[in-house]
Amino acid sequence: MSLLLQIIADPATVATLSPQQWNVLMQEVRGLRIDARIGLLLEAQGLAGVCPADPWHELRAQRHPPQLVQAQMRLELRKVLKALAGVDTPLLLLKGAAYMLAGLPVAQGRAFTDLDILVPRNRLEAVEAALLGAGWRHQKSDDYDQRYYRRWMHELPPLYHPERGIVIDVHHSILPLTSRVQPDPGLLWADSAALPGSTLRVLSPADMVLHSAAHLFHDGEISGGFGNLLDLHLLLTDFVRDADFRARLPERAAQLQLGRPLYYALSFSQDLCGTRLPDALVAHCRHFAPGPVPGWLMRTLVPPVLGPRHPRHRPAAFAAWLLYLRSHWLRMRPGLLAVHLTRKALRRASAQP
Amino acid sequence: MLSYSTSSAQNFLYRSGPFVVRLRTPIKGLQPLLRWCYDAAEEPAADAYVHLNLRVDQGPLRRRFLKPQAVFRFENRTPFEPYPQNHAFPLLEWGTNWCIAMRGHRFLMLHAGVLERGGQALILPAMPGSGKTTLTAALAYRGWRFLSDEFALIDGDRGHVHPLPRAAPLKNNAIDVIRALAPAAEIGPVFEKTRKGTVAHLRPPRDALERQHETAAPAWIVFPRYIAGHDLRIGRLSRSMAFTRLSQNSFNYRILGATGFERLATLIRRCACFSAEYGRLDDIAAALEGLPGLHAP
Amino acid sequence: MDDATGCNWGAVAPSALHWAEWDTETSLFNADTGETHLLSELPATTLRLLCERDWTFDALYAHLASLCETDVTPAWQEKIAGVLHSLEALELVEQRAAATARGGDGTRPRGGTFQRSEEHAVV
Repeated sequence: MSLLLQIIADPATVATLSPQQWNVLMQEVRGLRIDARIGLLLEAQGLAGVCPADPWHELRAQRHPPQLVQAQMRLELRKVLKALAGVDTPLLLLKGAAYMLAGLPVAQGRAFTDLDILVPRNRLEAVEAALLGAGWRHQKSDDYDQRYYRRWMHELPPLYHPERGIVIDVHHSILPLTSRVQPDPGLLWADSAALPGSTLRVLSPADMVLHSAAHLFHDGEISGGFGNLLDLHLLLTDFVRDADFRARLPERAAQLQLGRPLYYALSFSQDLCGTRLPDALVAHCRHFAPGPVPGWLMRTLVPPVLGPRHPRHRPAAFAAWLLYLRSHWLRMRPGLLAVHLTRKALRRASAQP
Repeated sequence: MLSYSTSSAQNFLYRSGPFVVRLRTPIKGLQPLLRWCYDAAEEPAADAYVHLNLRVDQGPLRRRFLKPQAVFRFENRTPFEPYPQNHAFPLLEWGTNWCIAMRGHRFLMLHAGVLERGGQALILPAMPGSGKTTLTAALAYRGWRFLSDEFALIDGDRGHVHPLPRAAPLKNNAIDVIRALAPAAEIGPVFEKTRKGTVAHLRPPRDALERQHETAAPAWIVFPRYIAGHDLRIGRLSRSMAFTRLSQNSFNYRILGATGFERLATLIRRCACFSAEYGRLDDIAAALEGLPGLHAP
Repeated sequence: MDDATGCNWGAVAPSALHWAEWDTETSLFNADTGETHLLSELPATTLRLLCERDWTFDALYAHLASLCETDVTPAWQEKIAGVLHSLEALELVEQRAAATARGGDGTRPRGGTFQRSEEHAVV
């Protein structure tokens, strides 16, 4: 079993590692670019003192890049709020920005690349117009991609401001319109909460977990998703202490039709990261389990792709490809999938020298 | 340097300044140059903590006979396009510098040459047109200890500079200039038509490698500018100007955030700052002998 | 001028600022945005005042005039307004509704304090 997974499941294990094992662990950590997160996790557990000086210096030094990213995101948010000051719309932050502003443990040392914002569907045009008017530009300029985003996806084509380059994704629901499951955005808004001292809103804890689960196991591409799994582990570990959350989570999963992704999130988080979940919660979610065949496929395909790869093993390329297909299958109706993948493949081929 | 072979590749473990490097490569031509460059440094223990896991692999099979390539790998990434295999050594050197710039955030890393005398460090920031590498190389044979031609590593403990003596790439004319100026300098093979022109590497002087664990307290920052045929002009530089220029000439000033700001401000406060224009190495080398406090008892 | 009385100017995040003073200029780092700035004397002094407390525009230019031993003229007012707008564009200062301002003109309150993740000690 990977050393990194052992450390996440039981951080105190670091005290027992040999110098060789530290080298292997750090290779896993570097490969997944989670140095800052692991360092902060160990520090939060009071384990800084048992780590040898060299890896500890490195883990601490690697906190700086995510700190810069978070500072840049805070600046971007200020600029966005100014640009949208004249638009009558609520704004809800998703994922990294939400975790950061809510001060959640999952945000510690966590870098993120895009700013994800949810607005009501009937405000999309006004928001887009205000941002474009304030200097933001569209990222994807190809007509097909623009239509793809607007018509089938759950967001505007990504926007960025030329002075700063940070990408903003404006969503109106959390899963694409084409997907077989459609969580009602109204339900998400109803349970959302405002951040203290701000007009910005974030999802309820249960909805945060479900969104993260849906992103990893429903519409995201699973390969390279270890950071997302770590998010789930940290979110669950934090929230599960609250009785309201434990009661609400399965109810909400049913309401939003996200029971299956929740089931996978809980299973894989437990199996790979050792997340401690109350038996009652696990029992309540059992009825979300898939049938035996998809269950077996996921249990076989997901760990090699999702888990950290030992430096000497080759990437689980075939399993990753199957999971990529699956994510697109969930994302698009079949006929569209073939067209889209062909276009993507053609574009990639023509981009190579 | 520790090394051992497996059936397909050679493995090396060596120290470069504060970093321990593990390199794996099947390319036989690399071994003699590696040893030439890094053997004089203290050997790391077999279970030493490795900061950089590097590989220089051969390129794809189909190219191996006509135009063999070398591919640089760092942890599980392949950050660069392949190089021709006979340029594997410059590729390794530039690749290693890139990795240090990406990962060395324990230090505030300035893009500068650094030399030491009497326990004090002279920092020569690498503004465009500075001729920094040639100047640093020349000074290394004029009574200064060579700390680095590329990185000024400023630590957080005492604000000292840590040596990182690596092969210094001399480009085009600089090769002949250094050969003439410093007959004792050991210059490696010439690599032609690299992406940076003709390049040959200056081996770090022996004492630079043997003493690469000895840090130095920063005392002087001189911004050099080479203008052919120009007479020497050297004068004090305002601290605000020095701070601003250095903040823009650093590998990781922005990434270090408040830490970078405070560390750079401290550095500027403790150093005498100058700017210099020169057309002849002899002129500036002589002028630097007059730096305040250089020959203080 | 849109710097109506009734609006206060204040620093956005005084505790996030790091200062390094040189002879006539000041280097400034804003930990909230990750940006570094080089300020000449007047903007630096203005920012320091706004870090201590909020000021109305009128009080600010009057006080700065006395510090700089100069007269309050329309040109001076314009100069200070320019300084304030430059600092605002850098996200260092902002306008906040004064306590006695009229309520609700339909725009949402700007800025607002975010609950930040725990700050880590400077290494």
